[in-house]
Amino acid sequence: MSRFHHMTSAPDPTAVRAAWSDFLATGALEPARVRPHVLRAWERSLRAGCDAFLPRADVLDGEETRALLRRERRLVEIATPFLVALSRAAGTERHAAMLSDGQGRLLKTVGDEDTVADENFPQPGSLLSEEAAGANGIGTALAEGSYVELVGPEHYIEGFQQFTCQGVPLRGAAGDQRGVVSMSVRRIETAAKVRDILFCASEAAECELLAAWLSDDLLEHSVLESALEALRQDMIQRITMARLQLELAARQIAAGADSAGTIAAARQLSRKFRRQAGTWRNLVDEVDGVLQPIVLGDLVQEFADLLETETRLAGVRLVWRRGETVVVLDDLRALSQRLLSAFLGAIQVADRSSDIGIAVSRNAGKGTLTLTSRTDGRELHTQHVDAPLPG
Amino acid sequence: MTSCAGHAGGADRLLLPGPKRVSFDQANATPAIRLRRIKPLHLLIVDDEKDFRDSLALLLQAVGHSSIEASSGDEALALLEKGVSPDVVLLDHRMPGLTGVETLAAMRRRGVDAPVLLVSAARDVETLASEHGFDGAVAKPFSVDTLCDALMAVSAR
Repeated sequence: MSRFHHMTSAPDPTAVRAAWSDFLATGALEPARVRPHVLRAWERSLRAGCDAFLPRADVLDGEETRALLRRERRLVEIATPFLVALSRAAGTERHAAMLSDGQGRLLKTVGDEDTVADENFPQPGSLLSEEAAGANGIGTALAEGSYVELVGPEHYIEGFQQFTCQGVPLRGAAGDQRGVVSMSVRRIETAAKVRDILFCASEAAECELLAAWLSDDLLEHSVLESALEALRQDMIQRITMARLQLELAARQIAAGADSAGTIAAARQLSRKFRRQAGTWRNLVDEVDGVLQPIVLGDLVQEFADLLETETRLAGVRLVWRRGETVVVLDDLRALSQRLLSAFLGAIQVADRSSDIGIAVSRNAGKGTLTLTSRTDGRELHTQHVDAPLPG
Repeated sequence: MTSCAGHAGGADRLLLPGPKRVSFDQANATPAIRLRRIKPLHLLIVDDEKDFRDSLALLLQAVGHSSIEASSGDEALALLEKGVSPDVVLLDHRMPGLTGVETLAAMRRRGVDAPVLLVSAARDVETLASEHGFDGAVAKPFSVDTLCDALMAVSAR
């Protein structure tokens, strides 16, 4: 199910307020009276014993908050530029862009001073899980594991009902919920205005989390460190471009200009990064010796895409006409490393303006990648990577 | 204004528009989006990736700067020889042909003394910059606010 599957049409606040009152009175409600994710959130809030008129004030003290912020320093560092961009997109509207950790503990807020400096507004260190704060943009996003929007009285706690809130979980490299990026605004029209950039920001932040994990946690354990450093820089370039596009979109939104193209470009960059990060991960993930069927041509294509910058820097052109589909049975990490070495070797020996011909074939029980470097029709170098066929 | 004939005194209210709301970083208790007064700069962006140059140029224009672009060190040197005179040069390191370090050295040999910022994804970008004579460094990924701070710092020297 998509992380954004809770996008439905906006509710009638008066009808929802009546439904909320009835739910509090009886503990039950006809499902059609509110949006499905709202009813689920209310039911969870009720089961958790949440008081709609007196939320549980679970706030860390100063030292505990500082310790929390130290532990989550990387998440805060990565997410902060995106919170600032979201805040910029909101312009002069009342708003707060917020970041929580994976348990709903508030880490950072950026917004207009009237909103975030209000003593009743949640401070860093406040717990906004549904158990503590009822249905809200952060706690409900965590509970649902996906984007949520809560308009006014869809919030369980009455004190939150002046806001429209949207929240998107941020997933770490292992698919775990690392936190939530959320946007709270006073006017529902503002919520609609910032929805797309909120999605864009969450995707870009996840890419940067993944890049940081790949850079720090995997590279130091890999024998391919020097080869991967060049690829790491390529990926940083990709996420830098996504961030610049997002910052541009924020300014366009604030100015009332069309931002759809800019946001689309940023999201495409994030998607491209994710694909390449998957290939990178296959190179270094420490999962030993599991043989699996692999479409050799698909894996070769991934490396051709991954090495796009390397080939451009070297002034060489990859030439490939895909033919038959060849499925091999091999260890993905080992095969990926052999393919990377072969490609880098071919690029290294090629002259500027050379072509590198790529061919995938089936020979004598093996699937074979052949890389042939040519200049002016003259063959310079050929190398092969073999992998066994199944059976 | 209100007043009544025959009664002393009156009342008036003058409503002024409120201050523009400024984004506020609650955790740091500082304005997150600073209303900075910038000195418009003319910049030379040198990076081999066109989409990156275009994105950066648009964003810099949005904050008040103008720019001209080059896709390589050689192209940048050619522009400078034609008389292009940027206030600051934004220079990538990993490019086809001349690297950023080689481009900077060639610029200085030609007497180009505009400040040059190294803008790179290299792990040790600060060290690379200080060891090779750059006037500053900006590590990728960066936000435009960070870049603008660096531009203000080098252009003020």
